[in-house]
Amino acid sequence: MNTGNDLVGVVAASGVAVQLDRLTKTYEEGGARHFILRQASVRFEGGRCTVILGRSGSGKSTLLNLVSGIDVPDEGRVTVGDTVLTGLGEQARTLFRRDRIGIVFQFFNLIPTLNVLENVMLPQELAGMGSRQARDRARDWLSRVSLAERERAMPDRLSGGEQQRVAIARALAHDPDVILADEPTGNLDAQTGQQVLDLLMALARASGKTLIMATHSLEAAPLADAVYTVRDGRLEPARS
Amino acid sequence: MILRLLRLSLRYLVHHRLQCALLLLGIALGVAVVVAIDIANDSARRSLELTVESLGGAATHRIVAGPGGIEDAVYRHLRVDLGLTDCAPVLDDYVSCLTFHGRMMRLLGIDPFAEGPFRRYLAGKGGVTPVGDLTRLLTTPETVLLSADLAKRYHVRSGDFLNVQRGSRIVRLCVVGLLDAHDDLTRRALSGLLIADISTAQEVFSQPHRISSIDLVVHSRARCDQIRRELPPGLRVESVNRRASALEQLTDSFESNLQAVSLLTLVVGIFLVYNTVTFFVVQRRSLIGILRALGVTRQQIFSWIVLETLVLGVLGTTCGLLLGVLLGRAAVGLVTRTINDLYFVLTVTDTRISTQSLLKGTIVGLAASLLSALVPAWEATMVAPVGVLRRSTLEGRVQRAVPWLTLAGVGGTAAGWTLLLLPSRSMELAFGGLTLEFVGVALLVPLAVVVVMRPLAWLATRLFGIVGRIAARNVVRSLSRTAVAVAALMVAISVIIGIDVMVGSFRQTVVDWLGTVLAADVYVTTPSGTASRYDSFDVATVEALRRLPGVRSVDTARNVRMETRYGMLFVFAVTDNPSRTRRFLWTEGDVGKRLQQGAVIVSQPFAWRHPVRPGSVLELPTDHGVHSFPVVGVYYDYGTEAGIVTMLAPVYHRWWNDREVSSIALRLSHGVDPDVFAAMLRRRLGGRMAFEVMSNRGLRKSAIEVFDRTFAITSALRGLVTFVAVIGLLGTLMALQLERRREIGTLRAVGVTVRQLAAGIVLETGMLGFLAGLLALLPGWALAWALVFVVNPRSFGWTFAFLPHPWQFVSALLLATAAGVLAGVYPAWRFSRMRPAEALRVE
Repeated sequence: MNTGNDLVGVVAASGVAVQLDRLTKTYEEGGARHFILRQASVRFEGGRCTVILGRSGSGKSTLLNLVSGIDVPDEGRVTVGDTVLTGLGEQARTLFRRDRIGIVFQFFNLIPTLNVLENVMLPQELAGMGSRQARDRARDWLSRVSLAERERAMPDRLSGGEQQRVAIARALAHDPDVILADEPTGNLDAQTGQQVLDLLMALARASGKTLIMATHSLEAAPLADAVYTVRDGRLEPARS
Repeated sequence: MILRLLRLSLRYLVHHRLQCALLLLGIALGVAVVVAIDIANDSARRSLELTVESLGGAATHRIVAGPGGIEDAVYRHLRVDLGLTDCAPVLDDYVSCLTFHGRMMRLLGIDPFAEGPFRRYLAGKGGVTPVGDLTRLLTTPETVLLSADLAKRYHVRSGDFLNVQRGSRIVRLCVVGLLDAHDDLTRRALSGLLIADISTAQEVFSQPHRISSIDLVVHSRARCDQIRRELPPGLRVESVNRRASALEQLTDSFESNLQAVSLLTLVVGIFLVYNTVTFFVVQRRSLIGILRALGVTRQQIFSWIVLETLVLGVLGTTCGLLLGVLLGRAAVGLVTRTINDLYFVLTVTDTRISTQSLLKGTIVGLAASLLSALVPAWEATMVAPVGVLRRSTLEGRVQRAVPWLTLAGVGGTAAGWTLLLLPSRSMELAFGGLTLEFVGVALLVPLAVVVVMRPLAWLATRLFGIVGRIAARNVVRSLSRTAVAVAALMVAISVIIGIDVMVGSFRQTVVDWLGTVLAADVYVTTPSGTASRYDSFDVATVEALRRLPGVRSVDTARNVRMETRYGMLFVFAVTDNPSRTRRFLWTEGDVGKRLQQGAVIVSQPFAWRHPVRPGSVLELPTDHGVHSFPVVGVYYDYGTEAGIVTMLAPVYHRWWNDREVSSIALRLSHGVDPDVFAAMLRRRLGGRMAFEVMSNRGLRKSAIEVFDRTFAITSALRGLVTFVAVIGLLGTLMALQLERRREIGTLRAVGVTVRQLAAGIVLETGMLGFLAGLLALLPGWALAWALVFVVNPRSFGWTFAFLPHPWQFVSALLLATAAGVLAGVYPAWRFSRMRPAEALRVE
């Protein structure tokens, strides 16, 4: 398996900054309003790897959902590069996400009816890229995550680590500006989790992407350029 | 423990109201259709009994004669010379009551003095209170009694006049009294009757000194034989029960066919319930795994799922019973109308909701629920404790089972066809064969889905890109669910094709047959068209028509319903030799010549029901005693399944003292427009005589209308089967999409737009529908073939041309695809509205 160090310098840097301004997200339960995020403001610099630490249920995933446009805040503004995401409608947010965001999920979330190669091709095909070009690029990314041999395999035939490597390839293959990783090692054993973490960090750095990773695992922190914590709905820098 | 588990069920079901509603709907619709048809059949049968009973009362036997009726001297002889006290003369037939907006009523002419032991309602017994001066019935001519209910409905009071039409005559009758029935049975028996003194009836029917039958109460065979010996030739004694059962036998086939289609709706309903219960299990796999880890045994899991379904089954069945009663009320009208058109005029129509029908519906509903729950419950017991069975593992099992299912399917289909092709007349074998064939074909569906989806997936990818590819693969990936939904829809679409082709073929055959049989330009018939002996024209009328300018030639037909040893049949006496206009199945010698010599030909349904072969003879009761008529041919006839014996008019006149005519066929001179002539005839004769004048075209149209009415209920049932199947498909799709919730969230997260997602879902459901339609083409064709060549001949004795039309198959395919697309609209709408964050939160 490749490690991150082998991949440095493969792709030119293209990450953009992500700016969050006074983000608030709440939910209602039993008539009471609970804050997930409360007036959170931060700037994630372009091309840097940021780790967001916090306990389960602290609001890390919500934060990533707001950055990707999967969810919308009650208040505040999300700006990715020069695009104010919170000013866009549902359709525009989807298209923005398709073109400029790559996501890695805790449970891999590969499409079970598509094989490994097709899963990696998915965002590119959605973006309208030609089949041949999408296939070439997907193969290239599969070889970078050392899964070239398994391109015909269906997701349920892969181990957890392999599935997550496919998910990483899928997140990067369409050359997004920002990669969001939500507990990417949360469903893996320690050794595999470390390998996946190394790979993700290395690929993100090598391609110059902005990586924002939410995790409750402290092992990711030393590898990051910046570390934030989410506590009581507030985002605080632990190291920047 | 089970109760605690059921409490879990309650919470789950409250959260999954839509699926719960679909399951209830599946059971309810299946039960409703079965109950409705049962109620309709039961009511029709009861109407038949009541109609017979209203005429016969407590009579055990009846003396009957040919179409000429009985001299009333015979009655006097029995009463006075033989001292037979328990006998009563009757003269009855239909009249059209103009005051009741043309409603057909039975005019029952009786002798009030002799009625004591018979129709108790006339003797002030049996819960009937006579209202008004009943003695006037005896003393005043042209008076009638009728039920108080009927009088109230039509705002008629004692002393008012009713206009009744009999053949071409209109008679004014005075209502001299009302009969107020206290019990329901009598009220219903009276609802189609006008009761008159026999002399009034003789006047209305223009039958002086004649009666139609003599009712008897005879309890010993010896007495019966003694009476028989005293009767003049042409008269015979028959049991009242035998007559009623002969009528019931006639309608049996019609009713059993309806029941078969209703059971098919239930089968489709079972598919639906099975699907939903399976979905319930699938969605709770992790819960079941946890429960198993906590110590809940496999048996408890099994009992839990079965009980849960049974509880829902009770609810669904209750709803089904209520819906069935409502549908049943509507269906009664359709069934009795068909019986009126084809078999026998029911003057009494009422909806009877018997405990038996409701019990049958309850058993059917609960059994269907139980049956549907068995496999999913077993599947639930296979869930490993905590280690949740992967969906792919489950589907893997199904994929591995495909060869075995295919083998079973081939076996089932082969066994079905073997039963269908066995040389037998058994309807049970025919329906058993059809059921096996359907089960067999349904078992072939998984393989067919896998095979057909390959090219479809390629096409979908080409046309819709990655969304098309995912949609197509989902169909195969969820084979355990999609195959059941496709099978249910396939069965429904096959039924549609089968019935459409059968009805279409039958209709075309009837149209062609009418073309050959109706050779004249204009037909003049009596208005009621009941083929009764007194509903007729006299010879003078025929001659008057013959002399009309523009008329080239005239042919007449006498159509008489007759009770014979073969049951009820129609004797058709024609002046135009039928050897020229009929198509024959078989003939013996020169039919035209043999007919002139006194032979007869019989219709195909008659020949089917009775072993008529070349050289057979038919024993018919004539006015000169029973006579054996040689049969020289069997001809195609689609007029009635009751059976027709056709002879030439001179032969009929030789054996029956009846010179009346039921219908007149006019051939017009060259250049005379039949429609213009018919209109002219209506204008000229309309004021003085009651005629139905129809041009050839008009008569064909009218005959086809009757045909279409006959199949109205079949079409309604066909629609219901489709509805149940579409609901089933919707349920399956909802289930499938809910299972894919996280996948849908992922797709939205990686950039699939709302429109693409909706298109993908609708594409998937459309493909399922298309697949079901495609797979239904062959079984649909086979069903049509079996209906035409096996079921119809065995049920009704008819054979007709097999005339499938490509459009019937294309439209079924389109309908299936449309049903699929329609079933996808709601899931597409629902999942399009779901926020991706919400869908992803499932994990």
